[in-house]
Parts: sequence; C-alpha cells; structure tokens
Amino acid sequence: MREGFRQSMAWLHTWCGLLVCWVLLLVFAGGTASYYKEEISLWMMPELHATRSAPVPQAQAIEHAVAYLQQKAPQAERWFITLPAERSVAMRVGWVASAGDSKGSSARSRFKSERIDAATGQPLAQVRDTRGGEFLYRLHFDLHYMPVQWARWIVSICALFMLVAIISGVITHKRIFKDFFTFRPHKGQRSWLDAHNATAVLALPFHLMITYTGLVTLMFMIMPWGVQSAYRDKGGETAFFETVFPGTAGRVKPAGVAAPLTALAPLAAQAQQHWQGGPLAVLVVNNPGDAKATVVITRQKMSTLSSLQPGLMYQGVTGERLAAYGDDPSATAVTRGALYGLHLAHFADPWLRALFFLCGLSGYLMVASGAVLWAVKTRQKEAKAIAGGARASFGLRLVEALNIGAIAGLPIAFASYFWANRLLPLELHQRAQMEINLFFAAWAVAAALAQVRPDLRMWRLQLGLGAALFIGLPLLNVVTTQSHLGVTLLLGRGPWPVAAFDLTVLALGMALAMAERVLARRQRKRQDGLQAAPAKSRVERDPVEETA
Amino acid sequence: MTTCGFLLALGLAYCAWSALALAMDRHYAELHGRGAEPAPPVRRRLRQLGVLGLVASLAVTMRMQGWSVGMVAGLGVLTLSALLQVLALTYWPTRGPALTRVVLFALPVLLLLWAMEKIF
Repeated sequence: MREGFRQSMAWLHTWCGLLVCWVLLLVFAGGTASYYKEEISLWMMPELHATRSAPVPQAQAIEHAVAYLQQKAPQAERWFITLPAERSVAMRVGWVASAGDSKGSSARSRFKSERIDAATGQPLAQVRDTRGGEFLYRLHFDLHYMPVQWARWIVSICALFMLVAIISGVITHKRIFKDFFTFRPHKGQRSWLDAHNATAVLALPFHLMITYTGLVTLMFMIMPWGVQSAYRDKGGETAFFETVFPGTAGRVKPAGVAAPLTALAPLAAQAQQHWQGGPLAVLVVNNPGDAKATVVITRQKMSTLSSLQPGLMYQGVTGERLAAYGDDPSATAVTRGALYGLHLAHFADPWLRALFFLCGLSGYLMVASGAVLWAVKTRQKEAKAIAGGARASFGLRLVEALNIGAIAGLPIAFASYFWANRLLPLELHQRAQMEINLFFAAWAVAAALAQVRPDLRMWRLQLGLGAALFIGLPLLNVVTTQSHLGVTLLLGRGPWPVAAFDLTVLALGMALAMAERVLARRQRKRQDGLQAAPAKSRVERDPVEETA
Repeated sequence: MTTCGFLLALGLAYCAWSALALAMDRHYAELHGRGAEPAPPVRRRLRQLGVLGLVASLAVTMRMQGWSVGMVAGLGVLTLSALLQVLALTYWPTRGPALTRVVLFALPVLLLLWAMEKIF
C-alpha cells in the first residue's frame, strides 16, 4: 500500500510538472526579474542615470504634478501622482483619458504615464519610451498578446499544478534527508535527479511559499464566491475591493458640473499627519475638475511582512475627509496582507532581496532540471529501439525541443529585450511595444529552431548565444551610454543599481557560458568515443589475426 | 540586514550544514575512506552542533529584522548556505573541512564587527 501510494505520487509529480513546466519557466524568469523591477527600469532609462536631483519638498512636488496634469489632461477620468520612493526616485504622473471618443475601450488602454522633474514640473522628455521592468513584472502573470483575464487563469492553473507537483514531489522523494547534500555530477540521469532534488529541497520553503502566495494574489479571481456572498448586502464586490485596495476607491460617476479641484498639498500633509509621518505612495484624483471629484491618498507599504496599504479618501472640491481605509485591519486582512507581502517581498532590504532573487533562480533551475530529467529518462527507456535504428518517439522529441526553446531560449529573449532597449532608434513609433515584440520574436525564433533540430548542438548554440548576449550587455553599455561599468564601478560614481545590473547580467552570461562549455566537452567526448571505438576494436582484432 | 550580520548568519549556517553533513555516512566516508562511519557519540555531537548553528543563524537574522521578516530572511540564508555546502561537498570533497574551518575562525571576527556596527 505504502509503495503504491508513493508510486502514484511519483506519477502525479511527473505529469503535473511536465505539463506546465515551460509556462512555469517563463513565470519563474519573469517573476525573479521582478524583484529588481525598479532597478531594471532605471537601467533601461539611461537618460535618468545622470540626474541626481536634491529631494524636493513634497508640497512643491505635488503642486508641480497637479499643474502638469491640469495642462496635459484636464478632461481625464482619473489622475495618478506617484511620489518618489526609496527604489524609484523619479516622480511619475499618469492619467486615464476619458472614454468620451473611444467608448468601450478598457481603462488600461487609455492609461498614459510620464516621469516629471519634481523640482521644475517639466517632463523628463528625453527619457526613452520603454516599459522597463514593469513589462517583466506583468509578463509573469498577465503574459502578453492576450486578454489579461485569460492569462491570469492560465498562470493560476499552472501555479496550481506546480503546488500539486511540489507536495507530491516531497512525498515521492524517499531519500529527502539521506540525499540532502548529495550531488553526483557526470552520471547522466542520476546527476539530473540530484540537481532537481538539490534545487527543489534546499529552496523548498521558498518554492512552497512563492507558489502558494502566488495563488493568493489571484484568489479573488480563482475563488470569488466567499466575497460575493459576504458582501451581497454591503455594496457587492466593488465595496470589497475599495476596502482591500484603497487606491480604487471613490470611482463615482461625474456630476457633469465643473468645479475647481481643492489644493492637494494640504490634503497630503493632513494624510501624512494621520499616519504619524508615514511616507505617502500615490495620490489618485477621480473626476478632476468635476463637482464630484474625489481624492484618494495611500500610504507607502511599511517594512513589515504585511503589504496592506492604508488609504484616505477626500472630497475633491471641499477637501472634506470621506473615508479611511485599513487603519484597523481585521485579522483576515492582515493574514492576506502578509501572504501577499511574502510574494511581493516589498519589505526586503538589499541582502534579503538578493536572497529572494537567488531562490527564484534556483526555482528556474528546479523546473529546468525536472524537464530535462524527464527527457533523459525517456531517452534511456527508448535507447534500445533508437540504437536499433528507430526514431525517438514524438513525445520525447517534442519535450526535448520545448526544453531547448524554453530553458535556453528564455535567456536569449530576456537579453534581446535589453539589447533592443539600447539599440532601437529613440524616435521609433511605439518604441516600448517594439522592445516587447523583439523579446517575443527572439524567443519564437529560438523555440522554432529548437523544434527543427533538438540536439546537443542546438543546446550549445542557444546557450552560447544567450551567454554572448548577456556578457555583451555591459560592453554594449560602453558604446551606447555614459553610465557603463567603467563609470559606475571603476570611477565609483554610480548609480549603484545600474552597476549591479551590469554585474548580474555578466554573472548570468558566464553561468550560461559554463553550461555551454560543459556540453562542448561532452560532445567532444562522444565524438572521440565514436572514433576510438573502431580503432580500439581493430587493435583488439589484430593480435587475434596474428595468432590465427 | 547589515553586511556583517548577513555574513555572520550565512557563516553560522554554513558551518552548521557542514557539521550535519559530516554526521552522515556518505559524507563522512568521503573524508575517512570508504565504509567509515562516525562513532555514535561523534555523530550525536555533530548533529547537536549543527542544530545549534542553524538556530544561532536564525537568531542573528531575527535579531536584525524582527521575528517575522527575520524568519523569512533566515530561511533564505539557510537555503543559500545549504546550496554552497552542496557545491563544496561536490567539487571540493577533501578541502571542504579546511574551508569550514576558515569560516569558523571568521565567525568571532564577524560577530565582533556586527556588535560594533550596532554600537556605532
């Protein structure tokens, strides 16, 4: 019975993992990069590297932002003012254009955002058009080129499979303690199993946490029924979301009567006082210039586990306080906030952030080694038939090709995204989207080539290309920017996040290059083996012939 | 986390994993020849030291970051140090103990630096 249970868990683990592993690789890669979302964005806007502006008084910054928005988008449905924070120093303003002329289009498609200089209120116009780290962050749960809802369902189902795979994997791993530190390289299938075990077991707290909390971030979509029944008589889901996400509060229909917006700086000061001087995150103005305008101010997340963000809502014309959210959160809200916070790691200082990043990479390696293990195992099973001249089965060939396209192809896609950021002409129409298109184009080419010839040479080609592109990034910086490693690191001028980015991609590139070298050695050995085999048999035959 | 505190927690966890690995037949035999097994009292002592080291490492991160974030950071430190331990056992099987000894001797220095960081 025991053995049977373990075997059935092994079956479950294999198929739950294999079916979704290529999507999981994308999610792991995008999610891991998202830990450095702000730093990646900064790296992708070299125009901002030189600006080291002195901190501007908050009131003045807010006044500048309002003046800019008033001139740029007076008719907008909603304004956003994102104040500078620790890891993102530029002030951002955004707006959702009114749906007037394009009815039915989503608010997301009408959203625009710009970075402005808090000191002068002028746009940082020369900043190149890019989605930066935000694209990679969105990619890991919204995917791309498809409706957001579909993408989130796909990702949640994959995450669900992964959760099942993790739990069944722990059950099926008989020697979890005996093999705790075991890695035996150069032993084929055994090595892949060891690598899969090591990356999975040693980072198990992270894998379990990130998968479970990932599902928690999407739980209102996956399981909406609790909210629906609890809030049936209390304003429905909208009221619930206003409580959970204060930033979405106050979205009322405009009155259609013009009325001047109250000064926001005093409201901000008042809000800050309410939170005992806690730093502010975002100011949202709904229906600016209308009699029914509302202003919502949210506090920055604290450095605690919980990601709850309290908010205050004011009437936009009179400045009267309408509501306060999240000042005294319930135990349920705090629990969810902590699970949500664990996923986002907003509380992480540089060292802890690095640990999260490394754990994310180990997750990528865990999924990759698991996928390769399946292929190696299946090839072993078919070895006799293949040696006898038969072709590898369709499933094996497909998995081998997908493995190359995902494991070695994704680094190429990521590197292409960064290369595109530096090389695309600045005045290109829809430049930000072109960068993204190049990400997917590079990935598609890699995946298609892998399907054409899924063999050792293709692994070497793609790993080598990924290595060259990643190692080339710091060099490309020397040619295309003023903030390359020579300036940021050798002259010690910073900005440090940019130097760290260059060093990280350099390290990733070298790791890929090492993987390529290992495969090259194996290929040489295999060829030597093929050449040596006939030679050896001739030597053996000769004495026999002599004696004969 | 301060740099010294992080390195202290990492070093403690690394030494702890070394002790726990040495208490296992496979890794003990790698050092003392095929088939060698640690004597039961040695094995017990190594395990006790290992657990103590892991607890001490968690205590350092929790002292720095509070019990909730400190626990998260501590688990991350345990993961990273265990991965380093696996690499050391795999690629430096004979030089591993020497490396652990170096880390062990660095611990008091790191502890001192960490304590001074807090004072100043």
